[in-house]
Amino acid sequence: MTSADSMDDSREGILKSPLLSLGTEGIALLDPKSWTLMDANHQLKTWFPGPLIGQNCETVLLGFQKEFAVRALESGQSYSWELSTRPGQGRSIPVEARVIALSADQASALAPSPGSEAPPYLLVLSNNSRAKEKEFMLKSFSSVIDKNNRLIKEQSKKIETLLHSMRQAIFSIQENGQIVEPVSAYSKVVFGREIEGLSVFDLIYGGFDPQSEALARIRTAVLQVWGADDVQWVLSAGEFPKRVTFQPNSQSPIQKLKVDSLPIWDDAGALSRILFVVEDVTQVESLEKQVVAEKEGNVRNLQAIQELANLDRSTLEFFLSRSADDLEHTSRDLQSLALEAGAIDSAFRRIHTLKGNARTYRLSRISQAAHVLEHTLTELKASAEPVATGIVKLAMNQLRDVRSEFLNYSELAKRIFGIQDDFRGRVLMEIARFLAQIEVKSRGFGTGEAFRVMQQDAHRLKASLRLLHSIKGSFRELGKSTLSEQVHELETLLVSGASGDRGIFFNRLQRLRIDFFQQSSELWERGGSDLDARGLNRIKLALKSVGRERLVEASTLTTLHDLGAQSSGLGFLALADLFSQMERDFEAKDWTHLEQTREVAITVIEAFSDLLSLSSADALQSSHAVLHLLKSAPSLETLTETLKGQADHQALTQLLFTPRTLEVLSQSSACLSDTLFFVDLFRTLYNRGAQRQGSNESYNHGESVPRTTVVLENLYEGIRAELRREELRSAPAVPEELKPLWRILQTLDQLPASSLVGRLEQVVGDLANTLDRKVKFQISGRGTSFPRQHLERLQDALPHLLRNSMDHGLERAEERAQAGKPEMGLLRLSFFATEDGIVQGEKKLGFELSDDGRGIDTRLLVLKAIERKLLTLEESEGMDESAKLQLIFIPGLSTATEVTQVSGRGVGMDVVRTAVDQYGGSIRLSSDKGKGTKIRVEFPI
Amino acid sequence: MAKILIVDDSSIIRESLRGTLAGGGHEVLEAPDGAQALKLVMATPDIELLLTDINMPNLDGFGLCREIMNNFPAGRRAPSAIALTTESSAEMKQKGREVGIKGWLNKPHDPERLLLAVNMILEKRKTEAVT
Repeated sequence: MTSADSMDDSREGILKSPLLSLGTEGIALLDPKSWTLMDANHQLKTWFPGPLIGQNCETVLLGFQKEFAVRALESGQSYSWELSTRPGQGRSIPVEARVIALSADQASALAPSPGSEAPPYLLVLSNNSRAKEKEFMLKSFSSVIDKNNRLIKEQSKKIETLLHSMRQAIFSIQENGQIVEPVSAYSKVVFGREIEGLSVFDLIYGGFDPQSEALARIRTAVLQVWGADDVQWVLSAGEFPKRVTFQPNSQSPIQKLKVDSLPIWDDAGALSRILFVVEDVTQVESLEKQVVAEKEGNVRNLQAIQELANLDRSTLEFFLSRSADDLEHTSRDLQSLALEAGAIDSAFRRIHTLKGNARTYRLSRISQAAHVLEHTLTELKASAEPVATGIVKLAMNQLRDVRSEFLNYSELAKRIFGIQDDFRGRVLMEIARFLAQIEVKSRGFGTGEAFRVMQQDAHRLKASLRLLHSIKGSFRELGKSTLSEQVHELETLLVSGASGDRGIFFNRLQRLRIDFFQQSSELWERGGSDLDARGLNRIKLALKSVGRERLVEASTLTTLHDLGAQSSGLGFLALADLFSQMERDFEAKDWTHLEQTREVAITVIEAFSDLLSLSSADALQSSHAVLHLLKSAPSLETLTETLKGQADHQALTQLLFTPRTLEVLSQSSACLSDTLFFVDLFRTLYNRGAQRQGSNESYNHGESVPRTTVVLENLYEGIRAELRREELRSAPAVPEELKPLWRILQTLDQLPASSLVGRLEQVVGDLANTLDRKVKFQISGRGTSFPRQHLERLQDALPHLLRNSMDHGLERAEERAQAGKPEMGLLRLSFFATEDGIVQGEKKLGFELSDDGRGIDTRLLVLKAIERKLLTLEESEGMDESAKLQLIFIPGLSTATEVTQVSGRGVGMDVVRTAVDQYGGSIRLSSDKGKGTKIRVEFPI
Repeated sequence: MAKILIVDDSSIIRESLRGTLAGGGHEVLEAPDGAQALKLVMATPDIELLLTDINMPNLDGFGLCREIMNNFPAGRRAPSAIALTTESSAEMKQKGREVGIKGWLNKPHDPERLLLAVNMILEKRKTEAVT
């Protein structure tokens, strides 16, 4: 072995044992058969210069006695003897030798042993003169280890190998604060460099101001305890801080270290060393904070529960459903500030209402959070800049706070009171809409046609009935017996419908629909109870301008009060009045006045939409539809021409609903039914108002109530006639009448992905703050419905994926800039349903999450897996990229080089996999290094 | 439980130490300077421990301890002493050792640690007395 020396150097690194860091020990691996040296550390080479590797140890190590070694190994005891070093210069020092038979595990932990069947022996040579001190140190070490790590304790006999797995920096200092051996290998991990020889004052106390009193006290304490007894230790050791912050260099994140100091005494009981045990508790500390936060959360919850308990169930349902809507819209408004002029006003109104409601219902934390946001929105409104980004960001954060308070309450309400937010209102609305669609469609086809379609598709009908049945049950549970009965009637009607008389069928269907509208209008009424004074004033002013003061008075004094729904009541009454006025103008051919009245009606509807927008997005849409119709009515000349000689109610209808406007409307079937819905609502409310004050003399403004009703009836019929004509013109190829019902029915055990969105946005927003990432979070497919249980699972799993993407995928802005990417990272989440049918069993639901971050480093994954012995080198060679990627799902295997408070423990992916497996789903993962990662999860239905 | 003398010219420090020690069940005496403390120690032979400031008018802490060491009647056991300090130097430590000071307590003190140290000293006195 001529080049033994150079080979030594090249192989020195192989001995990755922490023993190397013990410094004063000479360490070698011996071939158990030939007793030749397989490897040696630096200290050994210092003691025995010259070629070592491949040499027989009896030849190169002076005084090595194989028989001693064999005896030691056979007896299984630590057996030591002395041998002399062979230094080039200077005196020979006696060293103590021990031979340890390594287990295969230990051997591979110390060094890979290529080609050797039997694990090598470990030879440890210690400087005899310091053996005693060393022994003491090791004892201290092992006591620390015993205390701290049960796993390690099991192997405590072989301290050297233990040091390898120790997760603490352990070192001792001498009187001047200098760090001296032994220093545990992990110290390098904690401090990011070799620390032996450094001063403890520069290292763990380096964060203190050199002039600070705290540092002076530490120095004093060191001075006091040195050479002193245990009493002094007790008196002074309190000066050593238990927690310090540490920053390896100015670029690194600040670490939190937990520092324990232990005294080491000499034989006389005087302190001769201080042993430091340092642990990086950055993460632990953040966990501790979480625990504290959770405790606070519990107190908050208690308060919230008390507040919730004061409310009756329907109030709570109402509040929750309405506020969820408001929050979602506000979020959209804030995002579209730059694009839409009215967005800020809309956001402000919603939050104002939310606050008012929360206050009324004494849900203190929501109202407090909303108050803060409202204040910011006021500023934003007043801001000179079109979009003051700083304030917008603040508002977004505050909206998150409101939402988080809201979610907290709504979670509690669900958990404790079993309340599903927004359930009833939405179901009612959807049923009403469904029925309107059946009517529209079936009239389009002719009455018999829809029937036939329904008969043909018995399967669909059954599915719908089944779900209707559950709706019925739910209403009953909610204590809504009227609704339950109505659904029952609908159910019966649909069952018998196929064989019954068509005329009766449709009459009953229509009556039911109106009933449902009445029910939902009650909801709107409650929605209108929080009166927006400005909106109301606008209506009043508009009415006054056309000489309708008395209507205003009457409405204010009686109707509003009676209806218990001031704003919406007045709104509807005002419109009814205006429509009848228009009718009279039309009859009198007073075109100027008609035009004027129409203008007023537009104003009223605009103001009215503002009010409606406070109660429901859907109603808002409907009023927009009518507004649109009013605004797009043809010019007076055309009108006069068209209507010549047709002084009837149909003509008024045509005034409002021209073929042109219907064309616009018919492009969206939802819009059609919304229109119908609106008119229904209008009529229902009007009738109710009219009934209640039929004999009320104060409501006398020269117009008979029945006559107005007739106008409305005719208007209604007129619209339907127009709709029918439109339907016939553009008869749709596919009968879709059951689809809306299907959607409603799904709401029973299905939830739209959008119900997760708020939470996910919050997660991403928080992570962006915590991790200092710039990210654009795009969500598509919000409307995709998922079975409730799937969604709940996703709710647990998705945040893990988002965390992974944000922490490990997306780079910081600077890093992205260097890689030539836009600073703003892109995180895309899309929910999807692969097939929209309801009959075929092939439907798949899922989501896809992609980021444009750094991708997954499969090489690192493989290395980690090998390191953890989950994989051999040979196995890894046979793996393709996608198989390697799969490794990420192994619990505890993470590519993260460090565990941050956000992620890195490799648990998240496992959670996701478990959640997906449970429902027979599949995960597809693809990653392009440097470009991003995409994960696609699918569930079969 | 033992009789302990607190010597400090600051009544606030005395008050705070008294609180800790009395809370630990000890009987506490006080003196505002070394001279008065010395009189008290000589007149109260069952004082077991002295907590004394160093910088004081009339007689400082070192002087007090030296006087006690040199003049305490033979055959009787002198009280142990803990010095109160805000900072210490190697010289002070050395000087303290010469006059028999058992330990240094940094102001302001940590009540738990102080009580523990006091009890350790009292324990040691007992075993020393036995041997």
